[in-house]
Amino acid sequence: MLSGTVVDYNARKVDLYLSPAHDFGVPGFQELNPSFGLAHGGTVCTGFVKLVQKALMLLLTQGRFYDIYWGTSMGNSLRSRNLKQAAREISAAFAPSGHDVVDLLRSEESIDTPLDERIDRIDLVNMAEDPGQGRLLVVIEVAALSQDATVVTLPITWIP
Amino acid sequence: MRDLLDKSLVNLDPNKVREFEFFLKEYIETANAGVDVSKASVFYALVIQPAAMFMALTNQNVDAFRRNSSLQEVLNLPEAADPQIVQALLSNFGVEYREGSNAVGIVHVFLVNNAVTTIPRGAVVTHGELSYRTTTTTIGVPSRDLVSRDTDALIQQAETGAYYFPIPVRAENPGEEYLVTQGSSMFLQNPPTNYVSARAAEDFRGGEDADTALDLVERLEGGISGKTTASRVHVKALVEEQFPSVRHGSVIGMGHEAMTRDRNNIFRISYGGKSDIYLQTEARPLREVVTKTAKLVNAATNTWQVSFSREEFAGVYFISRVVPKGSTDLGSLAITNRVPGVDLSPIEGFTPTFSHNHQAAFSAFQTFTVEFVDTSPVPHGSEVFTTTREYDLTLVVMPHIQAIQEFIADPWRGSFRYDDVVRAPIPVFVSLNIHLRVPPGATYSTSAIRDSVVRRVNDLGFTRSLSSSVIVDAVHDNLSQGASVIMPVDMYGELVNPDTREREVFRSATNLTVPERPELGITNDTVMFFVLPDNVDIVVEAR
Repeated sequence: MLSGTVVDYNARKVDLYLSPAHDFGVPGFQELNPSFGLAHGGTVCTGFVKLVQKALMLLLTQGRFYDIYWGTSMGNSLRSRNLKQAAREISAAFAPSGHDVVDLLRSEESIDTPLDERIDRIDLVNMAEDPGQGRLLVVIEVAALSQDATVVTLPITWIP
Repeated sequence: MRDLLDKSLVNLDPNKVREFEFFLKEYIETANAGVDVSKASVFYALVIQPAAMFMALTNQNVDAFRRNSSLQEVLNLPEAADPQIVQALLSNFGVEYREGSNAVGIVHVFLVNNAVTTIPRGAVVTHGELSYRTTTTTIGVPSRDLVSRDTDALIQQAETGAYYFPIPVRAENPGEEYLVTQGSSMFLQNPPTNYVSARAAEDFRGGEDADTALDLVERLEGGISGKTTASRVHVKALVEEQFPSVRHGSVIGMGHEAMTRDRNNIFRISYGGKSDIYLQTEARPLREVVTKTAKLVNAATNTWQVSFSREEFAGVYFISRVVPKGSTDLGSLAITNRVPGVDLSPIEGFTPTFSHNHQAAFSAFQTFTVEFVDTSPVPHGSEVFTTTREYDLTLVVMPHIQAIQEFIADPWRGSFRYDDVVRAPIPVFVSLNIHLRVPPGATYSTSAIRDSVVRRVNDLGFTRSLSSSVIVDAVHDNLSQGASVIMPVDMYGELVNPDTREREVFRSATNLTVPERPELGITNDTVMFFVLPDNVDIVVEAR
């Protein structure tokens, strides 16, 4: 069970909770919703949930045109199929993007950022290469002592 | 009214957007300490960033509008101003935007035989890269009795034996570059089977570029001036309303050394009340072909005579070519005598004062008689002053002079205190020899260079001195790096003497200057240089 939940926001800064981009155990929302649509209006989140959400947004969204150093090109690369979905190419593209996510999130941390909102690592742990139905399994780990971690499933179109 | 706002986010200044992002972030954080608005938060991505972009966009639009609505800002940097907003702003001062106009002209289509030939409406006629279309369907018919409608044209026979008839064409796009000169060869696409060639029958006219913001600003002075004949600015403003093709104007009046009309008294002192209004009414003088009946005046020397009334000769500089009717031969019959005259019957009830012919030169009051020698044998039994023959005469003319004289002399508009005579500028026709050195492989366009030089010189305004640097500068606008003009540039100028109408030649490689002769009205304020495109010779040396 994750230590940060959608309702545990006492004395913390809260963010909006988007429809689950990953498996939080909510039935029916196992897969990433790439449009980050708002599911439950007005729901807020904090803690590890908020961290995972931020990490995913950074990983999958390129920065605005006027701020090209914010975000990563991972999402664009996957969608544009520049990678041809070969396993080696995906992992090679993921490495710098993951690195960027950690750096960018840390750049926004301040002294009062709670430990469970600080990132430790984001890594690509596995790939499912079913034709047309590929999935990337990405682990996101918190820097707190609890060592909370979650594995996020990113669905992709896999071209064999 | 057209929409003047920029709706695209592409041109936003990144720093401005970041400023707004920072402002919004601070604002929300201060008001709601518990909300995470750090970068990468959902609030930031979905609320702050889009809001900042649209705030920046609105700000940019407001700023642009404010800047362009200030006359001072626009005058400081007209090139940077938004043409649409400048247009809206200057309309407050009576300056109207001109869309530009398409050149129109007549093309002679030459045929191998005298058979009914149809050129459909919309047929494409080209001159180099310039493209024109016919404005009506023209049916060339072999005899006069077959001409039943306006669109029927009689096929005529030229001296060379070829048959031809005229078709009206209009440029496909607006612009000055479409003003081809008389005699330019044209190409008719999808021609009829008996087609031989096509040629511009006269100088095309009317083609004007659309206004830029800079042009509008230049016309502001005219827009805010009173529409009177008082000064150069005023007279240009007055005339421009009716005759938008007017480029430059100059007014000579009491006290000016060239004003001789107000010294027609025994004391030879100026008593004022007279003004000469010199106007450049088109980008450059036009060549017009008129067919006239000549009288034989001397059978022994084969001399023929043609007279022009003032309506036929208003604003004409000289006769550049005389040939038997329909002849396409190069060159001209030799002109042996030129007799300028003045017709003093009133125009709109107004009669100007002239004491010499030169005072009416190039105005709507001049008349002209020309004599020339045609060595082809005179038919047996010809009688002097009775035998006639038809000739095509090419006139080089500054158009609209008569219409403008009537406009200004109109009692409703004209000033009763003045004796205003409208004249075409005293012309110096310039021929140029330009040598270029271009690196191998570099691209250049001689037609673009020629166009650029012609525009620059013809737009110099009133001056009696033409520096070669003006020409070199215009050439360089069209040259890539490494290309150069080999100096000196040979400039050859022909001044049309207002008194004799003979052409006087001046030549220079650096500064072509016409000496001042105020007694003939030749001064800095009355003389203008003109270059016709076929008088620019460009030689290119690749090195």
